[in-house]
Amino acid sequence: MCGSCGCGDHHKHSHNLSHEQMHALGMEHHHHHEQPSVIEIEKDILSHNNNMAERIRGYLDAKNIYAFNLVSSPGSGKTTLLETTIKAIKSKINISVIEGDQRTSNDADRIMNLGINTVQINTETGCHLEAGEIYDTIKQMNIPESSLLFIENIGNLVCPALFDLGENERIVMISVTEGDDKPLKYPYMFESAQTCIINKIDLLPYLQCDIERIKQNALSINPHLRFFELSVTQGIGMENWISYLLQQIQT
Amino acid sequence: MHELSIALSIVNLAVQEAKNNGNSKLSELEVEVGELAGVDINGLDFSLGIILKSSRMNVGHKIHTISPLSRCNICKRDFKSTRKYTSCPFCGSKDTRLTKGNELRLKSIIVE
Repeated sequence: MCGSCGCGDHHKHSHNLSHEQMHALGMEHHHHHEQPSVIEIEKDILSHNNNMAERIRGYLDAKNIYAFNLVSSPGSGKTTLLETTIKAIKSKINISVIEGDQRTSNDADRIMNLGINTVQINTETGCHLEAGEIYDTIKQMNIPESSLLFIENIGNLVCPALFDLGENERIVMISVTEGDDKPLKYPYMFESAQTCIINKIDLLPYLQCDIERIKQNALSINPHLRFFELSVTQGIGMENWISYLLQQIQT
Repeated sequence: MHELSIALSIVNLAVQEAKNNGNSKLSELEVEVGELAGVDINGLDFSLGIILKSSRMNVGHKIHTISPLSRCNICKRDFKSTRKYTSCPFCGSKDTRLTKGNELRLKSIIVE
């Protein structure tokens, strides 16, 4: 019997077996792993997030849903904007909302009180929403066709900039109380947005904040930005904003 | 502080790629980060070090930074830039795009 492979006495085969063949035959053999080898990968580190974002985008496209990713510092007025917007247009168009916060369902409760399909995501220690979370959430929301979806991101002008959520449009919101150099301090968010809402403009008389300077600073970071100047609580500028929203969905 | 979650994604991706390569043992990973990728490179370096050390995988890591470069869509010239949208220094156009400096890539791994 062949001592190497345990076959019959008649030794008619070669022992130049490949590594895979030795494994298949259950033969003992040496592994030649002493030589480290370099493997080129060239893969985007956020590829998982970006792939999930593209899947979301495809789903939303197919259902004619227009999605906004709403980002700002905490307290700029994102949730109040949503409440006011919903009251103004819910009779004309269907709206769904995903709320992101570290903790509590306070924001989702406010929106749900208006009879809106709302899901709260609590990220706990997380500082941003990721596409995988949005994908799982959207799957269970049963969002109707030809409608609007608002994703209210965690109040944070830094981290959410990097994470595509599959939205059609990213809106960065800034209130005039935050200072007119904010776009310069947090450039990544302003770079990655298509729209900038400047809120609380009714407070301008009390502040040393120049709205033109906010816009110039934002445009120096991203010359493609589109602006809305609003006071959500006083109803200033809301007509423009609402008609812009309604134009996004062709029913 | 999203560097820690990015570092975790890097390690997961590298481990997966080593697994795909005939279950080899990962011994080093190499990352490319653009200066305008929105990632703090020291923070990422620190986070990668902590994760690799605490996982006891004995894996080294290297980070290469990539300087930003833009191209003007009007006069088609390349120039060094400092942000995503930089006005073209040759023709003054604002219609420019970043061609380098936005990378966040697992470049390669070394396996044994």
